[in-house]
Amino acid sequence: MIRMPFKTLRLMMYVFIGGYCVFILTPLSWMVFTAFKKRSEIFANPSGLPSELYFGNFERVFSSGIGTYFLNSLITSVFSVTGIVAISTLAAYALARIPFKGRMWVYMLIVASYAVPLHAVLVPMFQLLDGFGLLNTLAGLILPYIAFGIPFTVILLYAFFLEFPKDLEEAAKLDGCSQLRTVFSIVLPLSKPALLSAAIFQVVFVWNEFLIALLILTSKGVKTLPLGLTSFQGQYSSDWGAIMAAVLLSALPIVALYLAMQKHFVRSLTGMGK
Amino acid sequence: MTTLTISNLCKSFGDVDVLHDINLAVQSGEFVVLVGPSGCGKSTLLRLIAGLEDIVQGTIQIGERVINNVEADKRGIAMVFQSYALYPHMSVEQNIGFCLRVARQPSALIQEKVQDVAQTLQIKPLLNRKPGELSGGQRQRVAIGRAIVRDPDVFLFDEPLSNLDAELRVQMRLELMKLHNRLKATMIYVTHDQVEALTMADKIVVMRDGVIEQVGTPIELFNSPCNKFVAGFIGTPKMNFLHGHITSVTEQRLHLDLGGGIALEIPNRWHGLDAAQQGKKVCVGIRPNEVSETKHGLSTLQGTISVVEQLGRETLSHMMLPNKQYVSVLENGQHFHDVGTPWTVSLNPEAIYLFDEREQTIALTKEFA
Repeated sequence: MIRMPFKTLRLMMYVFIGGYCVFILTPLSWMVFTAFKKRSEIFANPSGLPSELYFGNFERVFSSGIGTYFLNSLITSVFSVTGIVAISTLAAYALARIPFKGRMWVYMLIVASYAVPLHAVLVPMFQLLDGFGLLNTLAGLILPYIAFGIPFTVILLYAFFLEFPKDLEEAAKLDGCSQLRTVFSIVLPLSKPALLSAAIFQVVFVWNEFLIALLILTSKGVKTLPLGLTSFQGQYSSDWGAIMAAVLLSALPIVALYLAMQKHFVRSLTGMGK
Repeated sequence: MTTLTISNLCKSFGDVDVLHDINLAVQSGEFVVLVGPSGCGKSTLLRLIAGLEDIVQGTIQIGERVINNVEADKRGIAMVFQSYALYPHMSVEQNIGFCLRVARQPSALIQEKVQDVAQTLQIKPLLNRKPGELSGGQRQRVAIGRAIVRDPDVFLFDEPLSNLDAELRVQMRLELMKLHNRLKATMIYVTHDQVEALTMADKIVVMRDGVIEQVGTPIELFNSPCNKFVAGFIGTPKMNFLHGHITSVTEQRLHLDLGGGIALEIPNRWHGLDAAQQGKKVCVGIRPNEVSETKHGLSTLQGTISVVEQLGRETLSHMMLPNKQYVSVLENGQHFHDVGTPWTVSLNPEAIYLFDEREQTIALTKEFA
């Protein structure tokens, strides 16, 4: 086997990571620069830095109702993620710790449901929501998000709870805790990293989700941000400054969340929340 | 003051039988040590007493009360886990007081009890720290504090010192013994370390493969092991075992063939050993400190020194016999034997044990017992 000197290997890795960063960051920085440029400058100097910070694009975005989209996305995210994490936590704990007949079958079904592609169930889901009168409501969006978010979150938390130290739960039992009290007083406070990881994953998914929202929501008052952005494109087909400003605003909460929770996010990707 | 009685207790996990027909009586205030090799069922027995495993067959009584179906927290027991099992997100004070909070005791009472326990265990300065900020010994104290605060009838310890270094283990061992003397509580302690068992116990329960092999005081077990397993398990260094068969028996002498041309002649001190036993397989047991260079005239063995361990105050030498069996010799003082040189040693005839084919100890005659 040919052994590469460590320095050469490190250099190659830096070159690769550097190239990848350029690949990812170029369109993002282009978006940020364009959001602060006047219309004339966007075409005269498309890839350069803005000559001055121009906020006119943002003013036009705010005046055209992005606040409603923002609020809808926020409500959808908060309720969906709370629902996903709450249901998945109890389900995963029960699967990991409470012996019952067919437990592995239930777990396998949940794992299998994760493999079902979204597109395969779009039509029945639409009919179901129509039947319940939930089309064009945020509840009609939140419920499918919860359903689609549960399998992955259960898998993530199940792995975590399986390795949770049993001694702590047994000590709690000897201290007089019921099973539910053990979960809430001992297990959950110590599962914060796993719960945060699960929540971050789901926030990113729900905040950016487009297809279900496009199917369920048609009236302007209930649209979420990704859907709202498309209407910007129609309205400002030549106003690239406003479009970029709107995209920047919609990306900001997720970027802020990522920066705040970076540690947990990376941990969840590398070690299933441990 | 509480007694604990275990009757006909069995436990299996699936098809694997872990405990077979366990019967044990623990007197009030007694310090009982369950000892045995890994997988012998001692921790399972402790968990059954604690209520962490279901009892399917047999009964456990604390005092007059059968506790088979009593919830773990209502049994009047407290347990110290091998891993300490302190709640990492709670301070020491919260850890100790948690069971009282769960029981909805008034906060003034909780505060008072926690302070009392902290005073007893000298951990008052640690009350506001989290378990992660404590050393192994301090965590151990907190775990014991959490048990004491419940004022239990029976304390259970599951190998509580196994995570500590050698020095701290000795120190904590002494502290536990002091605690037992002060509280006069019934304590059941699980360990695989026979030194811990010998030094701490009022009574030792030796277990193997889910069966109690022998129950007795440390000295009883050391002096009168009921079988080869107990004889080998109790005592450091381990007892020597030499396998052979009886070639001839007289009232005064027993002649053994150990194989490889080694003949051993020892005084006959055993009950029921007569000419009819000729040809039977037996095992000779002798503790290393009862083997020496001193000539007893009888019971001598010749071999080659293969390893010499200098222990400071003592020297432990291992001699290989021509039949490839080893004999360990523990001598007081420092001896510098040359490895590979021939050596002749004698067995103290009064310290020889004899085990039959089923590895049971053959009883001594009344004259020698």
